[in-house]
Amino acid sequence: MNTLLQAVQVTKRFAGITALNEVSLDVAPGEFVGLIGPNGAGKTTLFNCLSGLTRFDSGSISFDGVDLSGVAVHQRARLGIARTFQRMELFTGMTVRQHLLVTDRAHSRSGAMWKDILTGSKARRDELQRVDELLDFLDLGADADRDVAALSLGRGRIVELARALMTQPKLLLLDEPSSGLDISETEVVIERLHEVNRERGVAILLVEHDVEMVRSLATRVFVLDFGTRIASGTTAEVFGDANVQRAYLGGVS
Amino acid sequence: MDGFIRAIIQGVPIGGVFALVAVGFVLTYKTSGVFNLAFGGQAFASAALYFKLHVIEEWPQWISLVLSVFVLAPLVGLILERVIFRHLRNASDLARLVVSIGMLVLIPAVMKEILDIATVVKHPVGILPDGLHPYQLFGRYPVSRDEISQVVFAVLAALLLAALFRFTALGLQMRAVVESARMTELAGIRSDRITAFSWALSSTFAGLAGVLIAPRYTTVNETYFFVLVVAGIAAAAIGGLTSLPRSLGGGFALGVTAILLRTYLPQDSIIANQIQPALPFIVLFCVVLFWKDRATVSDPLATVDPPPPSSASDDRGALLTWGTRGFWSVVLGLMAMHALVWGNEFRTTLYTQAVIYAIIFMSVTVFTGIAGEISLCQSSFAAIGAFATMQFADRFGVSVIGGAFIGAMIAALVGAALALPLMRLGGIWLALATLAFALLFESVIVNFDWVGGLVPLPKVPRPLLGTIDFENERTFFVLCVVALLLVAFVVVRVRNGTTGLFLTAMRGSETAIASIGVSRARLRVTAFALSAGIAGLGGGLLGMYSSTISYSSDFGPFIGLFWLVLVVNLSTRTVEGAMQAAAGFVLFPEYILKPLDLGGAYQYIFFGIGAITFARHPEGILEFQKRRSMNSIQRRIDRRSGRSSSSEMPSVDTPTMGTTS
Amino acid sequence: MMAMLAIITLGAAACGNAKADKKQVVTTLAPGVTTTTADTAQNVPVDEKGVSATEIKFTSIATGENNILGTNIMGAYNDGIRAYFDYRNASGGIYGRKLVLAKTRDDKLAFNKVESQAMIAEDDSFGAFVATLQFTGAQDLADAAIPTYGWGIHQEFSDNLSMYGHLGALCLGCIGRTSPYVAKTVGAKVVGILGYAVANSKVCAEGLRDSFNKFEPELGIKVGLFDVSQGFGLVDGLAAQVTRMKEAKVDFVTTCMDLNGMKTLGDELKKQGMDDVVMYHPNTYNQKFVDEAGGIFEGDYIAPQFVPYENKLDSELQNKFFEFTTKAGVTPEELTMVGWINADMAYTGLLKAGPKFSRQAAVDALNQVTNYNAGGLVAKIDWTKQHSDPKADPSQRGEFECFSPIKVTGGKFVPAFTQDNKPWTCWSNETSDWSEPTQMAFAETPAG
Repeated sequence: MNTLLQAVQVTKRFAGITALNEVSLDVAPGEFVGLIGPNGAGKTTLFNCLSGLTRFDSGSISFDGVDLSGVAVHQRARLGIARTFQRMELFTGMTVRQHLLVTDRAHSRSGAMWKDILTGSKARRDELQRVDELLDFLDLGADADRDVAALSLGRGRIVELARALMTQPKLLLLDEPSSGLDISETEVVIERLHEVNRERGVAILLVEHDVEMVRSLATRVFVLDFGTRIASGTTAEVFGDANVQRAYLGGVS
Repeated sequence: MDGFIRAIIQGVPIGGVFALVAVGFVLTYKTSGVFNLAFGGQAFASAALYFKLHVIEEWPQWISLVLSVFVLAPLVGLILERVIFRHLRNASDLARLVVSIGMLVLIPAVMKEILDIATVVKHPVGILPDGLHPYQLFGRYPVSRDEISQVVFAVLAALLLAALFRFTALGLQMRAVVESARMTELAGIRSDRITAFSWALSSTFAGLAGVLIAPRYTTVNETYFFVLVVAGIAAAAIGGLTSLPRSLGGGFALGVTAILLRTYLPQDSIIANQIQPALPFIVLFCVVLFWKDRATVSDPLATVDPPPPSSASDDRGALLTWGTRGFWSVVLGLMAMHALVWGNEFRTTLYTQAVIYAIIFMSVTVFTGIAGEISLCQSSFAAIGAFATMQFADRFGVSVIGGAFIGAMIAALVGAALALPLMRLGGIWLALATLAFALLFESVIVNFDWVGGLVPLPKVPRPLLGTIDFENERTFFVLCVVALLLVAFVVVRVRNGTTGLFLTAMRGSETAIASIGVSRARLRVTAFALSAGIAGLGGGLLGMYSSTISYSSDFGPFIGLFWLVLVVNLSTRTVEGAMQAAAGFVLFPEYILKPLDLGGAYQYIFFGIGAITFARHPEGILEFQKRRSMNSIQRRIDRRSGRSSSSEMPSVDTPTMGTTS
Repeated sequence: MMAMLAIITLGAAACGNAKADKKQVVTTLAPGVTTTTADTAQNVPVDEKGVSATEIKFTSIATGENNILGTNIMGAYNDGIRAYFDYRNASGGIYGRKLVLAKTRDDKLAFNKVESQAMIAEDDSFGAFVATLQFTGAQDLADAAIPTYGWGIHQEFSDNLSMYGHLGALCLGCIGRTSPYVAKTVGAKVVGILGYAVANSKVCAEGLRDSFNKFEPELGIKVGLFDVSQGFGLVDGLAAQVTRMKEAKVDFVTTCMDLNGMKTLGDELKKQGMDDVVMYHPNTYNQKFVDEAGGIFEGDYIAPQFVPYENKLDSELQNKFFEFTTKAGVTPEELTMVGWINADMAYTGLLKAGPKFSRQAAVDALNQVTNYNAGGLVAKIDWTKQHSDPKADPSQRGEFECFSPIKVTGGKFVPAFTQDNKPWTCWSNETSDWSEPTQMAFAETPAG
């Protein structure tokens, strides 16, 4: 099996605390992988290392055959890594539609200033069409022209998801997309993620507390605890593992 | 060794004054998050009162000292806190900075009006009689009484502060607030009282520093205190703006370093002549660049600016849109007629000046209004434009219009180059770094022959296009208007285009903008370059307008502060805001103050008051009034046409979206 | 974007610049323009701005508020002009008209250009008097061709034929003999030279350094310290510089600094026990300032920009100065005499222009005067050439380099080198080499 994302023995220390201890992880193209572990296990730190927000101390990460060391956040995004954030990072002051438009522009790299000056850079029909499609796809139509500050936490998460999808990624890093969502919203998200993965062939690495969600979506799962990978394997294997049961799932299921 | 000890003894007194300023500065920064540039004004206030009481009225030294330093100074601090900065607790860095600059200008103006010392010909003296009386330290190092008083007071103040922190309940609470204001509030300590107390204390430090340094000068003038404060800020920056002991040490270190360099640098060398005068600014710049990360880790106030509300004009209906457009067309038309036809040549030159300043001010619209950052070196960019125009036109014989465009490009390049090292700085740190650059530019760069070369006078000719001679003031006015329209067009296009969209997004979340594949670095460089280029073009035109470049009166660093405050006060988000700020800058003294026969101080007083009102309306007074009046007119229109309130209309009219779909 | 700008630039480069060859040309006046006293009473109708049948109006622009030196510029200057006008008006004025200082403007340091433009716009004065710390409105006044007479400390007075500084065009940074001469007189061996790290001051200090170096073989005086590293505002003082001077055994100090710098320097010299070092002051002609400094300046030399008040000449203009300032209840300060001299320049221009005067005629006429000296109060100025910066064009330098210093003796100002009623110590400018000076007086030579 060829791999899309390959993290090898990634280690990250913060002021004496080892947040990640030689963690290795891989995701194949089009694969749906879960990453679970208790709070403070290092999941978000790992995400930050993958997306380039945090520099790690040792190990290596490669994506689509490219070594990512020294590759900036925005360049990784252009390579096809998109992500959402546990602590939401929306463009406050902009509407949902503008979020998607700005992302589409970023993706098509039409950001040169001279173009603004000469053409005015008005929204083109095809851009708006792509935006509308995605709005429909995630049921965001009703909120399209609202300022994101006015949205509920759950809707905000969906906007982040929409924005991540708008970059047409090869790999989607999702950091707890269901937290703050109500049941029906969660259902929509599960359904859509399924679709994104199956129909668009986007690989997904999902960090999630909702174990049921991971169980129903992921084909493979990694488990982190205290910065160490304590288990990995197919979903069935991992959820059957006694260690995992004890360390993490014991209290939940 | 002898020389070394001597240099230390010579540097410690002035270092003590720097230390006082630095400590006072950090106190207010930490307790209320205000980067208080008004400190210079506060130092001036006490020095001026002491001068008035002791030197002019000949009151005894100690009464004058008590009244000016221990009564007036705390009072000024309390007033600033109670009346102004308390209400700005949740305001942005920009808002607080703007208000403090307003105060920097307002306090000296008010003091001078009250004390009536503007034209007094007497010299300030220190707090001990016969301040020049020398003593021989260790029998060989002379120190004067004034210097002894500087050291003694600095050390006393430091000891008292330490004792206060260690032994009193209030001090403990203050220390807690200084460590973390948020934690203190969570612990149930009322930080109000503590904040007020720190302001009073900090202001006392300012006053003391002011009185101690005053005898160095032949008169009490606020300009000298501004310079002092910059040195103090450099010392505070050494302490990361947060550590009191390190700021204290930074003050002494800066004073001693200056003297050591003077003692040991080879005379008449490039380093001595170019680097030495700029020492505090270089220190400030480097500290901000290299130590910033350490400093901000513990900074609880490093928050993202709240997002700006959408522009007032976005929420109005079509009728009102055409109505306001029509109104402004008529007003601008009348002004143009006044400039071109009815008025005399003086009116034309006034309007020309306003037009040029509108261009320069649009650089603030770009950088602050669109990109949401604070730059305090726009005046340096304008100066670069002016000097480049001069160099190309006067010394290399290029057409002056070509020179102005080259000048704008050079300014843009400098802006871009400056953006690179400052990439990771935001908010107040960027403001600090740009201020340091502006001061560096003034004290070193401008003196180079290939930049300004102020001797002989840098002259800029007026352009000549075919048969059109822009010597004629009216023709030149038209040229400037064309330039203004061009720049306004560019600014609006960029704001409404992809770049504007990206910049708005970056204001919302720096992390997310990178995560969708936009290079923050490139965006930042673009914003810097565009803004600097516009300022440079305006500077070039100002040079042509003036024929000679008067750097210190047109482009000095404090002029740049003044510009920023003016534009921010009115509105940074719109092109009209820049235009109205320019009109205010140029026309207000001539059309309002002169007819009312108000002195020059009133310009500064109005300016300061403007800054205070801005604190209440951070989007800009203009934007606020516009929104209010538009809402009321819109309601009336709606009522008549039977529609419901405008607020329920979806705001589809946002810049990029409205037009195509 | 860059491409677009480049295209615009190239396009624009095809066009020229105005003013390229518009330099004013001295219009030669018909020779033999002479006026007699009878002429000054002759009132011919004149169509010129600021001139009525009974009055000739002038405006002054001076720095009052916000003067960072803490001196009295505006008040003293205007007093000097008024005193001169009183003097002339007492004998009937000129051409049947009174001379009037109709309007005084305060540029408050920062508003020189605005005040100049406003004055031009009102256009109700025949000429302008300017005594300011910055002269940003110079070009406007020059373009408007308004005869302008001023405190000649600015370079802006060069290069404009309708502008007259009371010293003629400055020669900033030129080789000069005055300072070395004072040093030689006091028997100095090592000189300290100080300036600010600000363009003007620096160039001036470099001129002093070059002069001392040039004359070292003749005078045996070495430059012991040259320092222009001090920023304006003096935040860290002059302590280290004075220490270095002490170490270099400096016994004579000369500067290009303002009053603030001189005070700080004096304080520091006193502190470090160097009271006996002689200072040569370019700008401390202010008895009050010296009094307040309390003995620091004892033994120092100060060069006023005119014959000092303490040096009583046999000059009508000086006598009248004392007479009319006393009458007005004015205590003369430095700028009072500058105002007086400027007013005399304006009067001289009118006088030479004749009863059918105009602005242009007054300018042209004064520009014919080769020996202007305000009745001996200033050294000879040749207005046919001393409008240009002599550093750029040495041929435009005046005939003599002169000064008329005083020495602080017992706290009082005592004329230093004056002899036989000759107040000026001068060198010929034919060469800038060292020579012993000649004592001169200029009043006796008839003007013109």
